[in-house]
Amino acid sequence: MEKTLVEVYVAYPPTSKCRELVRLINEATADLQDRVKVVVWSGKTALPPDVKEISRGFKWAIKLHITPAVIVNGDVKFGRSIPQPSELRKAILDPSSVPNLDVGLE
Amino acid sequence: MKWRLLTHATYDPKLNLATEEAILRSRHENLCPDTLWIWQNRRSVVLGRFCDIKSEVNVEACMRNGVEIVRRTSGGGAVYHDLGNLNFSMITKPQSAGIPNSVLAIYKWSSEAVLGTLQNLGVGAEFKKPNSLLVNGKKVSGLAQYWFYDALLLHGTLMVDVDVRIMYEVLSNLKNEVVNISLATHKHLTIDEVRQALATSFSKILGTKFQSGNLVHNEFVKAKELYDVKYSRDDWNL
Repeated sequence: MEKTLVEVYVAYPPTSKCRELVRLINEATADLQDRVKVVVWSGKTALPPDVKEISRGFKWAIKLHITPAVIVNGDVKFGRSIPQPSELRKAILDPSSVPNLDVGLE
Repeated sequence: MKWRLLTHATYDPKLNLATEEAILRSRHENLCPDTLWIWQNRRSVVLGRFCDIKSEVNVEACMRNGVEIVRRTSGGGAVYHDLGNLNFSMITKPQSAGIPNSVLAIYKWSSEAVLGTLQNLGVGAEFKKPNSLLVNGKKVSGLAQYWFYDALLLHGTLMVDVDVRIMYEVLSNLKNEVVNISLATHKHLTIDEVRQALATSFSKILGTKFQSGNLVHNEFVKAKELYDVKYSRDDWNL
C-alpha cells in the first residue's frame, strides 16, 4: 500500500509557530510511521534525496506563497494558520473527509 | 489603525528584502501597523524563491555590469531592478483592513492602484490576469503575493526608466516584452513623481490617509537577523 504523503511548507527561517506546526504533525503521525511519509519544506528547496518530484499541492502552495501550508497527498488541506490536532489527524487518516483549502482561485 | 507610509530608504537589495520580510513578520505579530513601502534597489537580479539561477540568469553578464544576485522569499520568475524601477510593498492583515482575502481578488483589487497611478500619469494600461499590467501589450508592472500566516505581503514592480539593455543582458529567460513608463508617456518622469502618484492611488483605494513613519525597533532587529541568516548568504541567494 502506498504511503500517505504529508508535506509541510514553513517559513525560512522557521518561526516558533512553524516549529510548533512541525511538532504537531510529527505527533499526529508518530504511530503511523508505516503508513505516512512526512516531508518538511523550508529553505529554497533542494529536493530531499528520497523525494522524486515536487507534488502538485506543494507547487500550488508555493505558487500562492502560502506559509504555512499542510499538503496531504498533493492536496492543500490547511494554510495560513495552524490546524487543530484533531483536524490534522483526520486529514491525514482520511484526506477526503477534510475539504481542500479554498483561497479564491476561481 | 492608521496606515504607515514607510520612509525607510536604502538601495541595498539584500537589506531591502530582509526589511520587507521583517515588516511582514512583525505585522503578523501585531508589532507594526499596516504599511505601504515604495522603494528601490540598485542594479540587481531578484530571483523567485525556487528559481534556478542557471536557467534564468546570465551570471557573467551580472558580474560585468555590477549587478547583484539576490533571492526573494516569494516565488515567481527572475526580475531585474535598478534605480529606474519602483518597488511597492503593501503589508497588512486583509481581514482587519477590509481588503479582499482571496488570491485573485487581491490581484485585481491592487491592480486598480497601479492602473490609477498610470492613468494619473497619462498612460493607458490594462490588467492581465492573474498579476500583470500591460501598456500596449507590453509588461510595465507585475504583482506577487506572499502570505505569512494571517499577514499578507502584496508587492510589485513598476518600470519607470529601467535600463532595458542591461535587463535583456542579465536575464536569460525573459517571458514578456516590457516597457518603461517614460517611453509610454514620451516624457521624462522623475521617480519621485511616480512614487507620489503611487502613494496617492493606494491611499484612494484603501480609503485612508497615510502617516509617514520609519521602521520601529523590532523591525530593525528582525531585518538585521534576516539579513544575517538569510539574505546576505550565498547559500540562500545563489
